[in-house]
Amino acid sequence: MINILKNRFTILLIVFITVFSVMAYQIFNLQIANGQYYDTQSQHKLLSNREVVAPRGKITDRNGIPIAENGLSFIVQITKTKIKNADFNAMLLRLANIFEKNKVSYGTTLRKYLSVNPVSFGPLIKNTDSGIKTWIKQSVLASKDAQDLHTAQDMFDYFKNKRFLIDPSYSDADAYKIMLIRYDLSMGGYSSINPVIVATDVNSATVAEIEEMHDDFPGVSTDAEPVRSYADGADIGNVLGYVGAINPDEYSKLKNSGYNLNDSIGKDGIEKEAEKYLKGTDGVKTIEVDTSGRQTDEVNQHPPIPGDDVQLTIDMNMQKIAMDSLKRNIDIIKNRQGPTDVPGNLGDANAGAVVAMDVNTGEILAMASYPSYDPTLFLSPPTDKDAQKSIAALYSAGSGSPTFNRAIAGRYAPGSTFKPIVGIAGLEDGIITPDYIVDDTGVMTVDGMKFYCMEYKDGKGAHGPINFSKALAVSDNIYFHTVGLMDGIDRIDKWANLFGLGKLTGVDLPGEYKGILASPAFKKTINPYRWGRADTAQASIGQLYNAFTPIELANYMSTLANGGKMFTPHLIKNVTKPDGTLVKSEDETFNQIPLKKSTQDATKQGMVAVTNSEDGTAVSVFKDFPFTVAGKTGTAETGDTTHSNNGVFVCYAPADNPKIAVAVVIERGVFGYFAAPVAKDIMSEYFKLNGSSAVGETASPNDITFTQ
Amino acid sequence: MYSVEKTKGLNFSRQFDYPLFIGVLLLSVIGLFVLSSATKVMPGNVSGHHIMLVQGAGFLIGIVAALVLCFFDYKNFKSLGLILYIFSIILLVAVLFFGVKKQDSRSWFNLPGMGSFQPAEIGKITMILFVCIFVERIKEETKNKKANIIKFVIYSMIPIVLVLKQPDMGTAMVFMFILFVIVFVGGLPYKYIGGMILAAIPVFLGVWFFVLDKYQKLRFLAFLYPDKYQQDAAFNVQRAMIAIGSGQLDGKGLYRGIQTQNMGVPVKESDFIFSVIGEELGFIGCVVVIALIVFILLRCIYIAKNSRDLYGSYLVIGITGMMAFHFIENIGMNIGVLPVTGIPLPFVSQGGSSMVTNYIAIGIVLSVSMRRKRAIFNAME
Repeated sequence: MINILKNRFTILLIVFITVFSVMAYQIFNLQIANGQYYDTQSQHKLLSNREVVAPRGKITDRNGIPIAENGLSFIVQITKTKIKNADFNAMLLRLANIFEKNKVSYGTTLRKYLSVNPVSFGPLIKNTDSGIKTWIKQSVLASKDAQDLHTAQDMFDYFKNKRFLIDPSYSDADAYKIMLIRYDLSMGGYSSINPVIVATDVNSATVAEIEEMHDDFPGVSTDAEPVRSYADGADIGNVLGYVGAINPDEYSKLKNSGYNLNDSIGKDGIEKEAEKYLKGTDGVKTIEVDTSGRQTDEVNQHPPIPGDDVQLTIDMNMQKIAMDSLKRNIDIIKNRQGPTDVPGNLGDANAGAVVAMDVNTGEILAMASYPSYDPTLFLSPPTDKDAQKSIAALYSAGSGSPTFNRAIAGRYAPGSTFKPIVGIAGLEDGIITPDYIVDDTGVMTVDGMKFYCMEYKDGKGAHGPINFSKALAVSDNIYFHTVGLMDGIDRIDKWANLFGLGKLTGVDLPGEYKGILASPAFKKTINPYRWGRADTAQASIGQLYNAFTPIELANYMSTLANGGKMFTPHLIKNVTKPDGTLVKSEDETFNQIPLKKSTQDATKQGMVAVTNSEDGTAVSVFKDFPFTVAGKTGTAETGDTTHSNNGVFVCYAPADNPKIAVAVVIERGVFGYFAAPVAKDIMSEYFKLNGSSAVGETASPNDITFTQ
Repeated sequence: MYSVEKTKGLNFSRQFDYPLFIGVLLLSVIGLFVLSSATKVMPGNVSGHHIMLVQGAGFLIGIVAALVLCFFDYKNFKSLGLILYIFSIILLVAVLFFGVKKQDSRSWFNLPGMGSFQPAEIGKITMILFVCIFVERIKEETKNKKANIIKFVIYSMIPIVLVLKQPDMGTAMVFMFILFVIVFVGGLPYKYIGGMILAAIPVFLGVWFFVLDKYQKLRFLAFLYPDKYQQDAAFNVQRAMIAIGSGQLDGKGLYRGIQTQNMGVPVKESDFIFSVIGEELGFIGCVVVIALIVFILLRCIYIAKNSRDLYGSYLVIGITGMMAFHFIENIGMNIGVLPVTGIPLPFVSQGGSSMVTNYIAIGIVLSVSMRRKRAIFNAME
């Protein structure tokens, strides 16, 4: 019994000793017999995870014409290597000199905080105590060091002597160059396996130079990354927006959503609105690198998932026409100089906006705001002096910020384009009929305030008895003062509201402003006096506080044209994955407002007369146009006599089978009908009248291939 | 309940098993240094500092537990065994429902603030404590032999089935190895052992086709055909071998391994911690560690052999089998001679709860050792 046990224990003991001997032998094999080989492998097989930036989704127009695509750009990155600090600094100086020679932008972060020659704080700090403190807190490692740091010189010395141990023999300028790169490395958390990008958008000469001398630059490597590029950006700047480097605020909000410090992000327009679709998901590739950070092999890759493509509802041809026409007509108005030639024209027209919509879908076919900008400028590196000058020029231009999209954020008094609302309110609620006649004697008094017929004021004589349709055609003030007073402000505002005036349209662009609807409630917020009948009379012709955005006006026209279907105007037609799978389809839902056919027809009759009857206010523009246009001019007083009045024109066409609605505003554009040619140009493109130079020809609408 | 005959007249300072305890302490201290190097650079937001705190706490609690246990007469486990066994079976069932999923198996409980805990760790020890009762009875009682054999088989199978349910192949293999060592030392005739091996073949096939998932199969295949499956599964082993080989004779030095400090070897703080020993401490370090391990195992066999009773003998041999399997499997997979199963290196790999359970096991061995037959008594017998 004991014998058997004894045996088995001994057997177990022998088995263990044998097994561990075999393992010791294998370890000997690895470490002693093949140690040299594995050591070499180890030096060349460090694992490193590199981020692979996902290409941003493409943006195209409704016909697939590319607007935003991706190109390739080079970056320079540095990984930590076993190199003496002094040698490292010397190498970084050499690298910085190559960058400067080739005009490559680098060290952009520290430059914002610290400048050299003389040593001073950079533009981001502006010498405020809190700014300096925040920066010191963010960038100085030990809090006990931070206590003694106050001035720019303190910071410079801290980085030079304490943080980066830069040899005193370097000049301030050279030490600063080293600092610029080391600051990026330090803040980016660089390590042997985490490279930090120190320069983006590097030209190929620099890449060639670094790669050629790569033995002199341990840890420095180059790579290619996708970058944004825009085609015809200048035509669509305000809609498209642009991408730029993520800023600290955006980063802190988004770092958990897959964003990195080196990422680009949509800053405005569609680029910002559709960021979540366009961004894509960055990939990671695992590579093997040697101890100087150079890739020796690729192990595996989680490929990046490219961003989704966004197709816009915009028709680029119409968009170009809209932009050109807006600019051209502003120039034309400017040159119709002088109070004698055109009374009231001070020759100061300088800005404007236009929105064209498909009335049956809510799609925005063209949206232009002038002045605009070329988003490509914002893609240029900070070292591109010309581009930076152009950007600065954009902002210093007297006409305000070009990045301000007037089409959705500019609020303009609608003037007489508001009159249909007053009529609709009266017609719908049975206050008047289309045949209701007002006797315009040229002047009327409301609460002691005198209101004039414009023609009477200009000495041409009053209109006399006038009906609804005629009142719209000639834009008679007395008629609408009268009807407005009969309606009352509440009824007018109810209908203005139904047509979306003074409300956000919900267009898929960032930065939309809500218009202002003149109302007793609004007056209360700015004026101690109560709302009176004189206020109603003024509001009835689109004056007083009334101020709407061009997109609100376009949507109002669209809703009037299609019989009360209130769409959400939109620019994104659909979003698809690169393989064509639909991610998001177009939102064509609408809200039906209670508009009677008879009201619609009466209004249409008046608006058609605007562009067709002999005394219509825009007949001079549309007399040869082959399609019947229902339009309304508006000349809005801004209350500032040093500037010309604003010109507003709204319309839809064809009047009997509406397809398109357009709203145009020209700041200091003098008269509404001065703005009308812009709408005409856009509609000519829409109806393909230009291709056959058919302006004036009687092409039947049936011959036209519609783009929709 | 069975009444238990206690060992009397214990002289702690004279009968304490210093060689075993010091051997284990030495291995743990080396382990703490190695782990501190392995956790110096960690991926993402994992805190190496926190890991070391938990490990250090596990080490101290483990020592206390071992010392307390060696005062405790192991023979009490003959009566406590059933309760402990049921308790751990409950935990093994509970983990299937309430455990957290890691790498496709539900083997862990998350303890808020204390990391995670694997019930199978405790399960191994309680199973040893319980089934050894029946092995002793089979050997010593002439009646009820069949009933005891059946009980032994059933009580052995329950935890294995539960662990396979998780599924955790590696741990199931530990259980089986422990039982094999116990019955082997228990004197099972070789013809039965041959029969068991033959019976294992259909079991293996069944497990392969019905239990293992693709991921587990890949790991096994990667071991058999490293070239073909390298991209997927043998990659870690490849990395570990490079790290170990590059250590050469005297290693790169603690905290100075190129692969270790640059996250060249995945899970270097746990499954692949031996790569850190190999790279940073070199062949000399590996030999020292293996020598310590062999010393601990041989000392355990010596204690088992000289146990006062068969129960103590089987207990110790079961624990020896458990530790041996962990040591062999972990080192073996690091140096590319055994398949990767995710089994940690006792006293070295990261894991506070694993550290404590290993010390509990050592405490039981110490308890048996203190009450073992001494040379002087042997002579009297």
